[in-house]
Amino acid sequence: MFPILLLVPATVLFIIFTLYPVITGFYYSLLNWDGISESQFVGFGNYLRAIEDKFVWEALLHNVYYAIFTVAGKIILGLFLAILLNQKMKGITFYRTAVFIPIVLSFVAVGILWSWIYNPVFGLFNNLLGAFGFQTQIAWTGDARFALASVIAVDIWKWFGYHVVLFLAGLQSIPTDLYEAARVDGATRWQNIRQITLPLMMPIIIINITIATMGAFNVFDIIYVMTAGGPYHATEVIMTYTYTQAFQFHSFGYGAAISYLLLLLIGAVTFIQIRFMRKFEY
Amino acid sequence: MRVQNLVIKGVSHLILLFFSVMTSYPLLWMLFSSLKDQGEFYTNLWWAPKAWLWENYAIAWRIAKLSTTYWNSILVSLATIVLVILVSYLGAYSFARFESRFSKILMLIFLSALMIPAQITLIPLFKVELLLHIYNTKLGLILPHVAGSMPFSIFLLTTFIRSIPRELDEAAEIDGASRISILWKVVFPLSRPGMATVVILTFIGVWNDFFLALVMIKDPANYTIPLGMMAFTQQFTDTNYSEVFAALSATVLPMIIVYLVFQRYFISGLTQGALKL
Repeated sequence: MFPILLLVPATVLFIIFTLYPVITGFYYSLLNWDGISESQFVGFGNYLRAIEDKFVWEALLHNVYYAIFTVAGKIILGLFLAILLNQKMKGITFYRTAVFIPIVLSFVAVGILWSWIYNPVFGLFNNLLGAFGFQTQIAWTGDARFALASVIAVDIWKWFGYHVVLFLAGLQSIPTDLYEAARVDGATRWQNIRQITLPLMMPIIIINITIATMGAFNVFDIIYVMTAGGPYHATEVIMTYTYTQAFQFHSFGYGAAISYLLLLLIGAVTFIQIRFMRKFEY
Repeated sequence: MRVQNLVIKGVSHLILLFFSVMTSYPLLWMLFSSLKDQGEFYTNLWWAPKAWLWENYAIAWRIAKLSTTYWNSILVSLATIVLVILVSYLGAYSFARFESRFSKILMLIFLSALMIPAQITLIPLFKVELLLHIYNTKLGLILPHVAGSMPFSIFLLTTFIRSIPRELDEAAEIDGASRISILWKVVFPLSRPGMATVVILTFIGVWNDFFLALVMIKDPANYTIPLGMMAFTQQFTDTNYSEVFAALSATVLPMIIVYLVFQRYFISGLTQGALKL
């Protein structure tokens, strides 16, 4: 009995706050319900509505853009800086400490700070551009043409250091005698990276891509803080749209249906990435 | 060859320095701006204030209601951490020391929950909280946070406890120790390094959480720091620049200091979090 008893608190919490919500959430997605009054069973009606909702597709497209650019930015920057850090030189701890700082801050704090940096009149960004001769008063987060890209840049700013550290840990686990042997054979630096580092790092690269992709499809905080999905839905993503539907328009059933579609999508993307990773395991 | 090496190292330093400045200068700018008056904010945008106005902090602390939000954030984080440690340790001990078919299946169920992003369940969770009468209370933040952090914490601690030799348990048993005292007095103290990772991961997650608080908390008296900062900025951003920066610094700076002091734990904790998966 003792072993079972020890598992009771964890299991009870899990059932109430994870399992039960996951199951009832799916049930809600089959209802026409405002969360308070009588509900109506509509089957897959909400899902059909979501598929025909142009804002859902637009939001999804933004998530895909978000995923492509944040993942590319974080992985390329992360791997590049980690390779630089993986040399025998001074100051490694300092650099690692510095690039890791934004990770411990909340997206709310980061979002407020960057809203100021992007301020059209006295923001650092426009002033910096001005110093290089590009006088401009663009409101980076208020202009539909630039808003999504501006938020993506902040996301990369916040997280690239995380990927630097993950990649660095991976690089340091590559046995140095491999490089020694390559040196004896007269390999160049670039050949080392192409022939030894990248192949051995492939599983870790894919873990990093998976983490960054999950983040991109779940993104909410930074967008809510910096643009609230605007201007004119220019930065609307699935989670901000779900939030608006469920908690501002009180379309509980519809909101639940959209979030389950997202879950399905995330599941599919993760599955593909894990399958891909298996290929590279030695 | 030597010259080439020197050049590569020099360029590496330059690039790394550039990115270090990229991450730290905006924070430094935030600190500078928090100490300026409105006028100097326009005229001296980039560098340190000429007159350091510390009273900006006193004003910001009051109008941003930082006493309330700090207290709430500390309370919610502490309670969550204590409960996560307690619940996860008991579970992990059972998984590590009494393996059975049942426990293997349960572990698998817990781990599969890691694949589900927390945001997905917010709508039904909202109904659960109404049902349990914990909506709009601190407990309504603490319990879902505990449940959310628990699966991964159990997983980490289980691996950790497995690495503690069973012979220690057996020796204590021969000496007549009860099961409870083996649990608390023998294995618990030895699991401390594993706990450190759990504490850091939970702390960052809970302290920085915005979405759960946004959905569950309506009463400003229960606002956590992110929620309070969001409300404060929306209200004052067009008028009181220095105060917004002061409030922002007052909430960001302590976190940075905690990070700098415990950075080894932060970095290893957060990377373990990713690489163990």
